[in-house]
Amino acid sequence: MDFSPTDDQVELMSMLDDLLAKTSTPARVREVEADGFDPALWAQLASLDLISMAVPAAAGGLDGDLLTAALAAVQLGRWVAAVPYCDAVAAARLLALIPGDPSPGDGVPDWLDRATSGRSVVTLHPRPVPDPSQPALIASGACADAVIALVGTELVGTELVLVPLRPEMVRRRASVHGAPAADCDLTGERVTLGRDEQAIARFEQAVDEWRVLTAAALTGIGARGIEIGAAYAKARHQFGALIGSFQAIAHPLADAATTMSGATVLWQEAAWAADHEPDRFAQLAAMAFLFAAEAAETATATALHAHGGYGVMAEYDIQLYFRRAKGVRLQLGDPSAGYRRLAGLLA
Amino acid sequence: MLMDFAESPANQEFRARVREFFAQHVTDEVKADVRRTGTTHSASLAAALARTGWLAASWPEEYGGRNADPLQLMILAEEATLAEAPWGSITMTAKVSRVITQLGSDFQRREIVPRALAGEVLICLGYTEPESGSDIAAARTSARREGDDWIISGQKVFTSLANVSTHVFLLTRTDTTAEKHRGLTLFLVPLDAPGVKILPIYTFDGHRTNITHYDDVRVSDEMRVGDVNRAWKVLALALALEREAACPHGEFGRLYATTLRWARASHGDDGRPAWEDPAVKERLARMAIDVEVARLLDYRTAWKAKRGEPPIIEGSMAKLFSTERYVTAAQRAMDMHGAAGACVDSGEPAAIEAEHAFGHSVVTTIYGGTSEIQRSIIAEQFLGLPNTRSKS
Repeated sequence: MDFSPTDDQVELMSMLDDLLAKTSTPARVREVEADGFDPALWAQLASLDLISMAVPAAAGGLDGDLLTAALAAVQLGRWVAAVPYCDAVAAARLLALIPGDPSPGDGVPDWLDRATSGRSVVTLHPRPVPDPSQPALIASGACADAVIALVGTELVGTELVLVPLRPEMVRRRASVHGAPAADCDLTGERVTLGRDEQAIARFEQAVDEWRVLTAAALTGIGARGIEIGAAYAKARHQFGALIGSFQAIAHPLADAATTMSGATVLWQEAAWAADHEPDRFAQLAAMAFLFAAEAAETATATALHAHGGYGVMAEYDIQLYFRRAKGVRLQLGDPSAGYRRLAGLLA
Repeated sequence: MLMDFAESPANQEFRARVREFFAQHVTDEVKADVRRTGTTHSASLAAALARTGWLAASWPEEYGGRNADPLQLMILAEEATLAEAPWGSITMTAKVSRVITQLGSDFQRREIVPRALAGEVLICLGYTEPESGSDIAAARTSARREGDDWIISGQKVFTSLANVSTHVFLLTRTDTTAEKHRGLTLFLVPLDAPGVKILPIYTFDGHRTNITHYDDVRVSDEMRVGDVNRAWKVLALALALEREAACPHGEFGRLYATTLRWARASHGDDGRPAWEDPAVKERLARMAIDVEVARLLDYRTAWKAKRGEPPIIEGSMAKLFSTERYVTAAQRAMDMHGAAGACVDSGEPAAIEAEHAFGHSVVTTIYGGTSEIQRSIIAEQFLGLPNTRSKS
């Protein structure tokens, strides 16, 4: 066993941290919150090949692994960056698996190229859409140029589709965490990426990768939230002492840091399993997402509470983390259903 | 370096040998003996372990060890726990002996260590006193110099395994005027010395621990471990070794595996298959995640130690997480059995395991540093918060 990242991975994280400290400042995050998307940052990530990083070389990517992409997701989480990175990386990796379309135009290779170059935002919608005649609530719907979704049921047949989104197909929804959420009409023109069993298998693999990437992002959100809470506890005096010296403040933060540390090693193991232990991947990916989501929710709530009344003031940054953690957690639906689903995967 | 969560082929092979060993030596008779006496010690297991050399697995070869790395020690501990091996006395002896090889005297290295390795010397810990638990440096048991000897007086509590041990690793105060961390000295006191009295304390979960009294016990200076008034340095090493090889996830994993087997094959309180109950499923899924996280945190601690870095934070996090989640899981496991979960005379293995965990898990959040102590360590040393303990 080895828990250490490679030198390249450490360098990537440090580069990204430096970049985001300048480009995804809390002021910028607030500025783009109404749209839920930061196009300038997206262009920058694309120009650094971060979207194509974990796409196979044969499909025009940098051939990186899921684990390295997830490390990038951690940093984006730490800076609550307004970009659908996890949704886009999962989508690009899925597209790269689909055999090339012989005809040019709006076929798969073109969409893959648009996605990885950043010319278009192509995202994965991680929840199945049993009835596509009804609009689907898609967390990245308002900023995506195309979305990949699994539509239909086993009874009527399932289809994995890429649907280009035009403005008239998208109705913006307001969300607790300022996501680019929208109700999207998926009945229009589409590119088929698979049918029935093949569609389900490709979709499930992509969603499991999304789970790992999102778990990583959640550990970034949670870990930074704890740092903000601890920094406040080291500066705020009450009863003649720094509040961080009171166990009532310190111990919940220590619990949160411990859980977050556990969430980190768990998503790392899941990401590793994607390449090295495929039989355990689905189970570990499910665990990683469920655990990181709960850990981030608790950590940011604890850190917010340590601020007392200041924690709920819009101008304090901790609320950005508190809201983001909750919203991201719900992207896969009711967490309880997630735990019950995991029970079916236990060995 | 590269993240890698696989077990190396050599360690897989080591695990297989260890598993076979415990399967052979932890017999039903050994387990029944532990239940009857409430003391987690088996002389036959200790002797067998001594023969394999695993008693000192992590030691350098010059002391009869096998140079096993911390990851292998973790495997050893994991397999011992899965097999329900009563080896608390053995690991404790190994840790104190390891401290002696590093900070003890030539006399102790010559006279004590080989006998500990042979399973003849068993050492228990004498840190805690009635008035000093978590505040370990507040110990008041006194030792005063008299020629080549020391005269020791005082009492210790929770001196677990003293009733089967030959020696106690005793923390004493040798300077009452110095700052409290700087007036302490450690001794290896033979438990058959005149003036030592061992009285049992019974716990609600069926274990026996002890209170030990020391009434003018005369101990030769040769049995002093480390310098006079410098016990803190020795203790730091002893506590670090304790963290390195601790395996709090082992028992938790056993509870989970037993409960999962039960849930898939049994009926709940309402007569329906337990596995059809969504609440059972959610609780088992949560338990499965917590066990996996606990396992990873333990291995991360061992990995850090293998790199030669003291795994202080990692060890505290692993212990805190494993034991606290074990407590919750034990409660939920009992809940799943419904009203029968409160009965302690069930023949159902999963109910027995849950009932065992109900009592034992609480103990694990206390011994070896309470959850509150671990949280303070993490708050102060990882989050950089101010001192959360000393109110002086």
